[in-house]
Amino acid sequence: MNFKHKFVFLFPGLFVLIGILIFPIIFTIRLSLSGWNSYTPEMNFIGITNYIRLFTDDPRFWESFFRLSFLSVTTVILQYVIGFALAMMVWREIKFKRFFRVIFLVPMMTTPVIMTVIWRTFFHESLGPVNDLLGGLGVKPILWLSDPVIAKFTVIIVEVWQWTPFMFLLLLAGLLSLPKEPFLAAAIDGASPFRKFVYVTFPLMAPISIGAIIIRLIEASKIMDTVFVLTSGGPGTATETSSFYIYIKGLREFQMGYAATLSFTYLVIMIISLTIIAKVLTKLMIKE
Amino acid sequence: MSKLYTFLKYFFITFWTVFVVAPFLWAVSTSFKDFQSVNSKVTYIPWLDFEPTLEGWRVLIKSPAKGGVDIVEPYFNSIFVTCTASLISIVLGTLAAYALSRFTFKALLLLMHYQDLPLKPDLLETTILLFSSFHKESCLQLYYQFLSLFF
Repeated sequence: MNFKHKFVFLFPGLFVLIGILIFPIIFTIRLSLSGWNSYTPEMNFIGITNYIRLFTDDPRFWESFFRLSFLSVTTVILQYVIGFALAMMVWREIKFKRFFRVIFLVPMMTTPVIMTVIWRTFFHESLGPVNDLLGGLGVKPILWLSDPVIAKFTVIIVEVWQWTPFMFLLLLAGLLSLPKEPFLAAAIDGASPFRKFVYVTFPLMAPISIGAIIIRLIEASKIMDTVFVLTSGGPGTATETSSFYIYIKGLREFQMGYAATLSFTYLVIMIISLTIIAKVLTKLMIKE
Repeated sequence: MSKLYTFLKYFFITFWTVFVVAPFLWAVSTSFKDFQSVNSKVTYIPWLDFEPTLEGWRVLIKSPAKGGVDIVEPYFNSIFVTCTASLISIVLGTLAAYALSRFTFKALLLLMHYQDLPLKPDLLETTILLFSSFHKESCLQLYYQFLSLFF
């Protein structure tokens, strides 16, 4: 095998990857240096004017970015804790194990946009069942979608509902593939269930946990459909996330050049921060 | 295991099941309502809270010419898109996966060394393992999709 056979196999995939990944990124960088908007829809060159505008004159983007960080970190932590708990519960002997495993996976298989429409009617402030049932318990109607603070938590609830199954799936798969010997050793030493979890299960699950958290963080930071359908970024800009703001700038106001600047800056920030998060998680969870 | 733990376990599982199923039940219940019972007040149970109607379901069966909704074409579209996308990703993913597992690439080794997350093989295997227990036939496809994803 001295001839480059191997590249023959690799090239089709590589070309497609370049076509759908590398080229758009380079095109976006070029676009971000232009002033393409609805008045001048052309690829002119205006230098780093867009970047100066972003870093000096656009608090709305940074607000939406911090909001996004809050939303994605909160949802992923909740998803991890709940997903891990659920996986632990249906891992060992339990009645109707198969039934629960399937039920817990159902939300992941549904279309996020359609389920969010259902959630919107669910949380409707006068015609939704949530406020009605809470009213039955004597709670005042809660402004699920029109209060700036509560709306964030409504988005979190919907996101947790939609994507906990994914976390659950990965963690359950991890639990099922764990070796039996460490658990036997722990049982022989007479470890309590709590200690078993802290010293055996959790360390063994650390690599899979990190993988699952990183995958979910990447997914959660792209959150757009839920916000778009549930609140449209409102009330005001209370639930506006970065991707939604970029969508508004690019496809509603047609400031393509500026939207490209936002996208590229966002991409760079996300790559750096996720790399750091992955390193920190690895340091924290895997003790050599 | 203590009784309390078992109780808490089943309580939590029941709670989560209700949380998962609730939107679906609400959607099913709403599908039998007419305009009046959706927009006047909150109603839950057919016959008890509101008079169920099959109007919403009839629209699905009616032909578009008679005021129904065309659901055949959108369905065909999604099946077509899914199949084509899977086919392309299987072909490309298989080729690339074969090349990557059969031969060594210096560039790739460098890349893997650079991002030394200890998760790649584990995650891949376990995911496939679980998926295979749910639907065996799509396991292979998933394997290639995952491989193509990671490469």
